[in-house]
Amino acid sequence: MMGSTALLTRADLRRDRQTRQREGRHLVLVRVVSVATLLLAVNYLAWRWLFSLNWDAVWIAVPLVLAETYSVIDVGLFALTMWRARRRPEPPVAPEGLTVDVFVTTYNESLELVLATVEAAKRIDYPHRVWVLDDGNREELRIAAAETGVGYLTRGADWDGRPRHAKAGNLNNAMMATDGEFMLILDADQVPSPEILDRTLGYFFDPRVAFVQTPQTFGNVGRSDPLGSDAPLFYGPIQQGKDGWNAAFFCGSNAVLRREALMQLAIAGYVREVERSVDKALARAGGILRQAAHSDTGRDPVLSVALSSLEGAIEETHDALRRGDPIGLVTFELQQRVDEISRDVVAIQLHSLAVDMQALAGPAGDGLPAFDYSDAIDELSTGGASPLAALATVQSLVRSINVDLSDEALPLMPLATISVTEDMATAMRLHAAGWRSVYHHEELAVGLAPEDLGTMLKQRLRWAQGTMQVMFRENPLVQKGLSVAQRLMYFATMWSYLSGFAVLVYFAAPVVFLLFGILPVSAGAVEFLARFLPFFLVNQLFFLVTSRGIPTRRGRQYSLALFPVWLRATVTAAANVFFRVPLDFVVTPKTVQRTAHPWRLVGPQILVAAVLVLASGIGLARILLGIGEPVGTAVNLVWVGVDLAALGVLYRGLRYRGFVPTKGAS
Amino acid sequence: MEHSVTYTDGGVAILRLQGNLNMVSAPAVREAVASLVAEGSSRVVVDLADVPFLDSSGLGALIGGLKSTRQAGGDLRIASAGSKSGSSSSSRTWSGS
Repeated sequence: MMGSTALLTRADLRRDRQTRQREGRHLVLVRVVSVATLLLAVNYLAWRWLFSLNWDAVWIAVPLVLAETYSVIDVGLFALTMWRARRRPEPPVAPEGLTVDVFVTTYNESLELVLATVEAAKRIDYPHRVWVLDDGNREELRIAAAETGVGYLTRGADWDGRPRHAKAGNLNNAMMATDGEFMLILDADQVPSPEILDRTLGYFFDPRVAFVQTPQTFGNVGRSDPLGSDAPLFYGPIQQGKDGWNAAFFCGSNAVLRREALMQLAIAGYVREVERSVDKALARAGGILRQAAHSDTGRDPVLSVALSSLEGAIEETHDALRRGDPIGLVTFELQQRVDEISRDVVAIQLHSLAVDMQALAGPAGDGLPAFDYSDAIDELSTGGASPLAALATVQSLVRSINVDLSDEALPLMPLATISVTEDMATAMRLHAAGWRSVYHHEELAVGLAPEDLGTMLKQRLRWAQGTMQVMFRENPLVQKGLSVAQRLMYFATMWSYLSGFAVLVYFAAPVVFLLFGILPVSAGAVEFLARFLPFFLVNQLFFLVTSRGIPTRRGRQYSLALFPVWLRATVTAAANVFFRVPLDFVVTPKTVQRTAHPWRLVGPQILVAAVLVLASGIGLARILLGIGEPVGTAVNLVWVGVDLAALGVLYRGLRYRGFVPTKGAS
Repeated sequence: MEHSVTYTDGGVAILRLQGNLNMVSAPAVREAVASLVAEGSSRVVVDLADVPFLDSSGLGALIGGLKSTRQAGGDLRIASAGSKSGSSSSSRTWSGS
């Protein structure tokens, strides 16, 4: 079977040992600096809370100290991530004979782009089959796929009128039509290198490994990266850190997954869904019956009897489920019982009605036409025409129990559908089920990044919304099956998307000081700097040590400059999860978009920049007039300068006109 | 894997499977149930007497079959299930909590 007994040469072994030693030494350094950072952070924050809150200006002092607390927690989570971050040694050799499906997912990308990826996928060395998963259902792509000799999959009629679940639905649909033990998922623009499977399949020698994620890099991003597309810190130290805690993230593309792991997830999910639907229906039916019994005057004995026998039926169902009887049978029997009771009640009522009518008709009654009420019984006992509202409601509730989950196209959903970022939700469920994951740090596919600010903003909004949906729906902190560290690894990513609120306060605080001379910190400048600077400087050093020479400036600028995106993502995801408001509820009408100036994309940021500049001017004027405090003003002007520099990245982003390969870096 | 179909007097289709019901054979089983439903036999019994091993993809095919028969107004029942699952972490009992 999977005998990976490939011989390692002496040089391989030596290189491996050297890697391990180097990684070990680096990790010691990371840990020393992270402990120093955290000690200094606590030293600063405790002083801020206990000794330097300006109680005369609580309205700005408390938000600021809360924002600072947020940031310190963020640093703490980052330190935890880095605690075990290390590069893995060479991967195990891929065993022969595994079956692999390569899925190229597409929705509306150009044919040319999809086919370039398909051609590269065909050239992958390890034996495999290639499938185009076309959610756009395009005839010309079907033909092109047939011509190049790869499989073509699209949604069937089952999906009509049911939730499509975007990319997760597309992949789940394909999983049902294919049978490879493993699957490599590629977004339409991710061109794989021929060795991608040979370099990743070896990890699955460990039967507990569910997926292997490789980095996402872009071929159309220059060194200056004006849109901040590269994520070298994430596809590097952060993923390696999460990997150290067995919590590597699955990121939707450039990853190999084990079918069995996903199918087990799907079966467990199916069972959970059915149990949930049964529990919900039984609980609601019980509640309605209790209410009905409470308000029952006893004037109609037939109704009273019916209600109590319904209660009995529901009670018996509970007992049967507790005993472990099969849900399918138990609920089927309950449905039969409820229908029977309902029919009896209606029959009795119709009968007494008929008797009444005969009595009314008197002796001449034999002139009445024979009344066949069997149709009427059926109609009354199925429709809403029955006067017995409670009975009817219970009946429809019990009917709504369906073990085939008929409102979904597929009863089995291997990839999670609770979020627009199905990848994160799926990985978290895999980890909670006890599966292992691998982050393999080697560029094995090259994709295309957005080339304009508008598209980039939409993409970031989507990612942030998806992450927040997972946080609100399946908060990692309370997921059974995850280790404490795994919970915190997922939570760390979600926490970082909450930064919009803190950034708002960080903008407001210097403005308040420069305009009104109100300091949220009640301490002298020297005392403040003595507490703050050591923390700040060691924290910068921590970043430097962990990033190992990777450029991180662009990413940090954008994490500040995109604060409206993070705020909007948090608010819309909360509205979506708690009030079922569609995520894209707030859409700018297309007509406006077309005529609007691109500056409108970053309206809030421009407003903030203008306020910062204005406040700086007024702050300087206050110094000249002799009412400003010089040291405080200087500190706040530096602060404003840092903010403006970060916002300035958007100017470059707006001016960016796409990638020009010949020039390279601009 | 091989399969054969017989019918009872009551019009119930019995789908007899032979061999492992796993990710390789799952699509064929799903297909077999679908074609029975398409032919009008929505009441199906899947006989697992000669199935020594069942993985989660196989289980998935049975659930898929259950869905297609139920939607056609019928049902899918399993005969001779016994204990066949491998080291599946999802082998929760199919019962209420």
